[in-house]
Amino acid sequence: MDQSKTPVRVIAIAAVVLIGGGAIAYALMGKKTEVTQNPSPVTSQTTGTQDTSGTPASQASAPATSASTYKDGTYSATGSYMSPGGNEQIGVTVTLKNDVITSASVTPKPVSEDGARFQDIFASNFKQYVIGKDISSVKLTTVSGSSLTPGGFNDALAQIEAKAKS
Amino acid sequence: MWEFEAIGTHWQIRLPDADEETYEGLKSRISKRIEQFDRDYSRFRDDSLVHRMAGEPGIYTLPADAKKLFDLYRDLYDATDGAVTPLIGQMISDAGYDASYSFKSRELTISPAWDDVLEYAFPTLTLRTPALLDLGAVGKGYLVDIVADLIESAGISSYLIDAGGDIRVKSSEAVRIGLEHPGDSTQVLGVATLSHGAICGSSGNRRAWGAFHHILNPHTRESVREVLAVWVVAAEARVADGISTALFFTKPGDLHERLGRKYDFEYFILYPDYSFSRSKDFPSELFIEEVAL
Repeated sequence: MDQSKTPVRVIAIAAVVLIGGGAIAYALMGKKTEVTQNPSPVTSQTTGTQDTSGTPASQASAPATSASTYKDGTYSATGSYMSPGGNEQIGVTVTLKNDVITSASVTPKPVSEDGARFQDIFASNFKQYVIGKDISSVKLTTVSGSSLTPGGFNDALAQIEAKAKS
Repeated sequence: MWEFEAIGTHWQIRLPDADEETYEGLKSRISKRIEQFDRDYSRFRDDSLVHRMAGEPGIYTLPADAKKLFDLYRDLYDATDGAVTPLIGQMISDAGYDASYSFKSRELTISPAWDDVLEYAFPTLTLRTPALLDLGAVGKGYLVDIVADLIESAGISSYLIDAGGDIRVKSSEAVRIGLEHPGDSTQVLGVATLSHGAICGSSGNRRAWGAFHHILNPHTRESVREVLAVWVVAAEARVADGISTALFFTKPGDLHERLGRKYDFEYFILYPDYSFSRSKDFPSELFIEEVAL
């Protein structure tokens, strides 16, 4: 990952997690633009954040298209909010592609016990999954298969299947 | 790039800086060395040491390279409560992954406890009863290390060895290694970057047949279904290979604690629903989708 060419950007992130009916929405506020996925009625607002400075954690190698408001990449920021128990912080990381958030995660950084409890509830409402990308679309030297299957094994299995069908 | 088939898998060796003479000399040494390893440890050939051990109890003098192999096996056996064991050989064979690739399963022989059958004190291995050993959890990675040593001893400092996805690399630039999608070999789930060290993967749905795949739990006599695939990065391929199998049975925190600093590793564990866990320093970018619960 080339970090040297990543410009320091100041973005304000407000993460709004909507729980209910599997709906999720993120609002990203900066330059007065909102990026929202699957907009749906707000059923519970878990946190709000103030303006914070954020530094891109990494930058996608593909240049952003000229139509994008934001440069593609992964951005991290720490948000603060005032709770009855005092000031609390929470980390938010979002990945943007063509102005769309393709992934987001939250890292609890609680101060108080209540903060810890609420932030854990917040974080546990996400689940991360890995998804496949076509090998041809990714620049690679080689691939670590989970043991790329040996020829003999496959041939033998194919023969047995053929026999079983005949 | 030099490509060949050996020990039941496809190999690629890249030596970008080697001159032709060195390259040719190495090719011949590596081929001979792999052949010797196969003759010692393969359970698929009837002239191997492992085959002799399956037929006859006794005190066997092990080859000089066996220490690193059996030491690691013993450590993994203890750290996984006996789940990673060379004594799984008969059970895998019974399940159908046998020397003739029959894929016909019969009743599975329960794997005996290590200390009931084996007495290991390098350079000897005593078999109280005949036992079919399977060294597949560590063997391929170890052979990759042996090949790396041959290459380094020829004065070559830049190489990539890939034995069917078990990879060891030394390079001035980081090498980008795709993590193959277990369900679709045209896709990758992420990219690991490595300039010095090894990465090995184990997956349940490759080398699979009938009700089984090649990672069997000796206690339950079933293939492990809770974990779909594991990748491990370590300094040496034998460690990465062995630990990638161990993580099918034992949680990474427990394994780390029981094995200690001697076997430092980073992991990426993939579960059947494609959720995952990984260590903080597993050197990769993953393609992640975030789903609200």
